[in-house]
Amino acid sequence: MEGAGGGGSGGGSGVSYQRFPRVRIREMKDEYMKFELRDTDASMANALRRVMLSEVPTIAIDLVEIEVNSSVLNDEFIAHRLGLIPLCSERAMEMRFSRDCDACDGDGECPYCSIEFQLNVRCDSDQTLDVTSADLHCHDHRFLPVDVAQRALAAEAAGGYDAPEQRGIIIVKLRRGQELRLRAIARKGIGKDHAKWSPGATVTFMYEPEIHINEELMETLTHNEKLSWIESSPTKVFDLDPKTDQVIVADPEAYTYDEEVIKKAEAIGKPGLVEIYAREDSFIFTVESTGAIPAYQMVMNAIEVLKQKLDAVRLSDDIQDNDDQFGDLTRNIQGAAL
Amino acid sequence: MDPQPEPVSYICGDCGGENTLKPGDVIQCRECGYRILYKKRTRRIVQYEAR
Amino acid sequence: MNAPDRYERFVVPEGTKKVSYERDTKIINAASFTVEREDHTIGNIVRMQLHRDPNVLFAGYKLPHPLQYKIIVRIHTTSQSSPMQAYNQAITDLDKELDYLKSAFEERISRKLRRVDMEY
Repeated sequence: MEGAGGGGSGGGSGVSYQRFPRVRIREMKDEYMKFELRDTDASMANALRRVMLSEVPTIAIDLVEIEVNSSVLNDEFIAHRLGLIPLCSERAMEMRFSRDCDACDGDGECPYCSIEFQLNVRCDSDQTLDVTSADLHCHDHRFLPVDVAQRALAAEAAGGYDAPEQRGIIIVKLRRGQELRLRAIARKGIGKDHAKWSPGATVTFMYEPEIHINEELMETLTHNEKLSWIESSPTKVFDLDPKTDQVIVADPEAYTYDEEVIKKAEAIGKPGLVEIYAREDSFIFTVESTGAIPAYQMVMNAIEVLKQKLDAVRLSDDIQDNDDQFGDLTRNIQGAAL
Repeated sequence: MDPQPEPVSYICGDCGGENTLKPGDVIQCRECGYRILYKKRTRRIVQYEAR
Repeated sequence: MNAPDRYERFVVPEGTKKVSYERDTKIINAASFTVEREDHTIGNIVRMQLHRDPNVLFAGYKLPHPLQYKIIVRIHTTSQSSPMQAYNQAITDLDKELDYLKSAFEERISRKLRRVDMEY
């Protein structure tokens, strides 16, 4: 196997150490999802979590041109608040980053990379006027603020009536005579650049716990001992069967790896009462979205983004070719020396 | 310094009414007598990064 | 005021290579790969995938400094393989794993959307 071609041909050996992860979705709502991921390792689970939080693109307001602002909040305060409003970002994956867009200078007129919003509100009554995300106007309805889009859907379902409790995200409040007039440009971005682009509210995963109760040892406990042992867990993991008076595992996933029950067992002189292992190839994911993209889309996009990242870190051909020559050379020298 | 000091308009902190003041004027709202006046924001368009 | 632009964390500067390769001067079949503008996300999955390869004797990565936006992956293999071959293989395998995961997810999601969810 001293063949010179041994280096660099890369991936052509035919052997594969690939894994085949399994997935089971437990719960799936628009902005919430819980699923099990099995037969992979923590590095993959963590890579997906990291990508969901900081590298799945969304759309957010990035530039604000304020024409009139006589509100109580200063310009930069309002600009910052506008940036944090989540916008529907279903199209974000196919859009361009303004910095990569060669069709424009990112000024809000470009269909590939930016969307323009207008806000024009003036208070003329004695009542305080709330300026909300619903006052942001855009010619393209695919990029509405998340809450506005949801309200439109809810109104449709309710037969054209607005739900009164949903009044949009408040940007500023105006009193009589105050006015706010501005133009805002929304762009594609990622959470690494600024948190306003992160589609994830929270993304977490935990190892699936495996809990084994030593039934024999457990039966040596009195009823009260069992109760106090169950109570020692800060979360409700164990329970007592009222009929048989046996300790049962009520909810293994409530276990937070705090080891309180293990310490308690030792304290009452019964070490080994329970054994708890973390299954290091099984994960329970919880994904919460800001609403910019549905939770399940966030996961799909994360897989896609991670694939693109891996593609980008592949070795370029010129490096491989250079090394092949270099490799031959060193091997020849070594051969000669022998 | 200026040959003709321009009157500047201010907004009353209480009633919100507009007041024009020249140098030497009493700083007081003509409508309600409130003594806190705010300078108006520039009429120019200002650009900000939303970060 | 003089803070570096945030995009410097993920945009490879012009004229810089995304991946560069440096052979070890003393040990045969050992090399370091410098990957520009990547972090633990890529570093850790590549490292763990390399550990699955029995021809890899050593695989590790480091993020030299939080303000230097690059990682260094070091690989030492047996004579049956080479660092480059192992690196390429790891990335190909990860890519295939993600392909598999993607289709698995697509199937599960479309089932959920059609409300006919079943066990595994």
